[in-house]
Amino acid sequence: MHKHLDKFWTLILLGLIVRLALCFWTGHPWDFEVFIRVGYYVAKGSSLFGIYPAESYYNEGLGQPIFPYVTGLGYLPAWGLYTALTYKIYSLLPVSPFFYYFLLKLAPMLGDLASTQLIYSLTRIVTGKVEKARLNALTFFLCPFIILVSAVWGMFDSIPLAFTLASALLLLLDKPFLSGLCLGMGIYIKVVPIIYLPIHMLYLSSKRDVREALIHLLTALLVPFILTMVPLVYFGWETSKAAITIFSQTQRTGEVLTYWNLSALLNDLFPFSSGMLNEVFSFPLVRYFWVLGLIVGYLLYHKLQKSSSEPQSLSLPLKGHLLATIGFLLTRTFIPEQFVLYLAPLIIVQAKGWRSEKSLGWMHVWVSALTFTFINLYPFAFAYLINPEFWRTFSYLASTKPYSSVRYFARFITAVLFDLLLVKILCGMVRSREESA
Amino acid sequence: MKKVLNLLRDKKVHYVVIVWVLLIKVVEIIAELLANIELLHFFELLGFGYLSTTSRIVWDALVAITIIWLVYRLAKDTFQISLGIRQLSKRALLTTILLLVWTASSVTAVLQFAQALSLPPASPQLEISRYYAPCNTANGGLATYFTINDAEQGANVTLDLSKSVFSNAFSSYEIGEISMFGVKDGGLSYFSLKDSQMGQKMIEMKFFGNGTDGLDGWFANKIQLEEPLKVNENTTLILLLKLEPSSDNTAWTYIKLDFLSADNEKYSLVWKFHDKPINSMLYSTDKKMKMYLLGSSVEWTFFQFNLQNVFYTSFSIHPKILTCIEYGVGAEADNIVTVHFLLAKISDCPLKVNGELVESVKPTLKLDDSGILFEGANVSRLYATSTLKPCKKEKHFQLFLTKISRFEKYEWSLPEHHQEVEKQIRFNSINNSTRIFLNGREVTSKTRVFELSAYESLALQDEATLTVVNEVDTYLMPIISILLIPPLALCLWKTFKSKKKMESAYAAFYF
Repeated sequence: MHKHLDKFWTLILLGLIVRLALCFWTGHPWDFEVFIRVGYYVAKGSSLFGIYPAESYYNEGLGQPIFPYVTGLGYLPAWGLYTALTYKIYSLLPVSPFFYYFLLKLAPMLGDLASTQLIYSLTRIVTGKVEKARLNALTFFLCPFIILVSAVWGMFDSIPLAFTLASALLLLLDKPFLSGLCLGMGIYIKVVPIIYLPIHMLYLSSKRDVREALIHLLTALLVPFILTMVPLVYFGWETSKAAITIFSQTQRTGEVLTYWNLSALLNDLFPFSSGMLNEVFSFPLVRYFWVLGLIVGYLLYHKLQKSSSEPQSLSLPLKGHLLATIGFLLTRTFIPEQFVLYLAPLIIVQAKGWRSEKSLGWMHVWVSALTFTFINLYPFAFAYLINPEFWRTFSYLASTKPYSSVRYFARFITAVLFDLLLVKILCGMVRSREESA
Repeated sequence: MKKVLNLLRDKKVHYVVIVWVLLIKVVEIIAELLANIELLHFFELLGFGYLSTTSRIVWDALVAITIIWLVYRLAKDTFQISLGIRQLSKRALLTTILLLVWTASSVTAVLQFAQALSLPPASPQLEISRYYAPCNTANGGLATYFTINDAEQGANVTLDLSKSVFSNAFSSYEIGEISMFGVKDGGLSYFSLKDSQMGQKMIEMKFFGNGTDGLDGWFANKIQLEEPLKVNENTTLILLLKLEPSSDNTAWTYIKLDFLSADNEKYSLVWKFHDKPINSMLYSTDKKMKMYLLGSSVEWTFFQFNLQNVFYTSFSIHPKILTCIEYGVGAEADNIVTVHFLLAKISDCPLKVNGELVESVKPTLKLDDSGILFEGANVSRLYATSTLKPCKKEKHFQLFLTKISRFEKYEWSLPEHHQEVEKQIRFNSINNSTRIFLNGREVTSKTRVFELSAYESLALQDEATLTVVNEVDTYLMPIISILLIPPLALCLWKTFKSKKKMESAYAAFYF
């Protein structure tokens, strides 16, 4: 790609055109259908949290009737409010529902663009090289997996990712308050970026002082709290239901892009033992294994910070982000594919050379994540908005033996390979720290 | 492999794992404590209330081992106390064993104290149930208004549709085209309209099998509508039914609706309710009939379906008119199965209470004023239960040598007209050893383990007092105390001995 860096803006435009061409007629059959219906119901005055765990029915002309009803969102109110806003805009215009789908994906696509700009800025700060910054920005923006998540799936993780990267950038620019504000916004949109808060605290405590670290912490926590409470109070939505919706996310047993999806494979192979399997996979130590993963990630970062030859090295917080993300991805029992987005900029920005081992590492990571995604949900199913039969065909194959067993087995193998890649990256980081020490 | 083993021996790794396990335990305790607060019930999602007994024992044992491990690590790292058995003298070995037994007893006792402190409260609620007659009706009998006198403003009121009386509860209930298979002769299988003991009209349908095991039999009544019903966006099928379970989990009942589409094609929707758990759907081979299989309808179960939505979801076209209703009941022919329908109505609007869609047989609503507005069906007698919170609460602990007791006392003032109503007290029953006293008299129940128990309060008059006593055994407390005696005695004896020695030394020096 580096041969074409002089055509930087043309390639960015190309990335945008590809996204625009794919966005309005595709979507994840479950997630996107939930977004479509939640947008409709909340815009019509329903409580964003009242929908969960009750049913939101299919509305003629919006989405497809592939599920009689779907559940609500498991996030803080930001995304639900955005979906309602897009429905309001759509309902004011005499246009096709495809415009509504486009509006739903507009924010994630803008999130991609913002993240690209931030990767460019971070690389320039860390390496001081414009060419490298352009290469890293394009590596992210033109990555097929990134395009798939935002423009095809319709998942919005690129928005909290952009806020997280902005927070890291502001941290490097010695603006801890603004950095906390950005991280708080990221947490407000999707709670995941909260895992980076201890890294920021450790960095600020070492570089500045504990007082500033505490201000950063308070800002990052108060922003999502206040922004959550405002709509709850204003619209009179039930706080307890909001909390139930969000807490329910901690209860997910082994699924999706993690070796823990062994649970689903064993359930398929030995359905009679599902009770025992559920017992094992929801055991406290398994359910909260991610807490151990994060503690280890933070301790490794603390060691890295202490042993670093330049204690105020610019790439330190990014390495911390990477350690926390890998620790989380390797231990949580429920890892949706879109969580891979949080890895992307961290691996890309820290790549040393044009064809370094690490940049190759990112390619391996996204290829394995994409392979998993297409095994988990066959690519044609993303076109369910055009014809619901695409979904029904997938649904038949995914629930009928022996196809279902083959799918579960392939999912498990791909997830294990993905996790091994993460372990390799982690070992590489620990080894390089030992060498530098 | 060697690296991994070295890593496992690293004391920092030990501390990380210990902190992790204890952190999860702390989260569990905090979640359980917060979940007891009325507005913070949702914290129970973070706890482990779902664990089976075996998992619970394993988890508690793991926590206990972790605490002992922490004590050992701290003893080793802070005080350099090593437990290498070869290095220990007999006295040191004995002291170490005593120390270990004492630590284990103390940890168990601390956990028992924590258990006593964190036991969820009984949180009793006095329920007053009575029948209400409508104040007025409107909208052609489809909207009915009731006034609830007993409930406080903002209180929760639970309605029981299975005990309420509906007028015009069925869209069609005459005998139509009967079909049957695998039934015993003699008119033992039937479809009829009956009166319940509570004065309700109900459809009763019976399948009396001919006794053949493995043969699926049925009895069905198909009613062609003389005037087909137009289906609009609000047309709703409302069902309130109860199916008697069969001995071999093969019983079912169904309601089948035949429609004509805009191009006069016939389509059918079937809702089939089983006595076993099931949740599935099926299409006929020509894709013109869709059957929804729903399970566990052996208690009174309430359903309502928007016909246009379900039809569109099933066939991706709109229905025009409804032409036929069919009721069926069946099972393997070695069964006798009865089904009752209290509501089987196709209404122009869904059943709503105070504007909220009814989703269960016992909907609960919060009263802003004392009024209840029923829409979608005509209710002539409404059975409602209002809940009274205690006006006085007290809680205290008593410590005994081998047990801790927690006393909770609740008092209510009863409203007027209490002679005419049914009253019950519901509360969280904690465990087998929980003792309950109602107005000073001890009451017993078979279903108190982790379930809500209800006691009919025959003795209740102007006020009610409930005392709940929970006891946690602390058998190890004496062991802890006794184990402390030998080292204390030894210490005192040594001090006394050294003092005597000193005195003798002083005496020898001076004299």
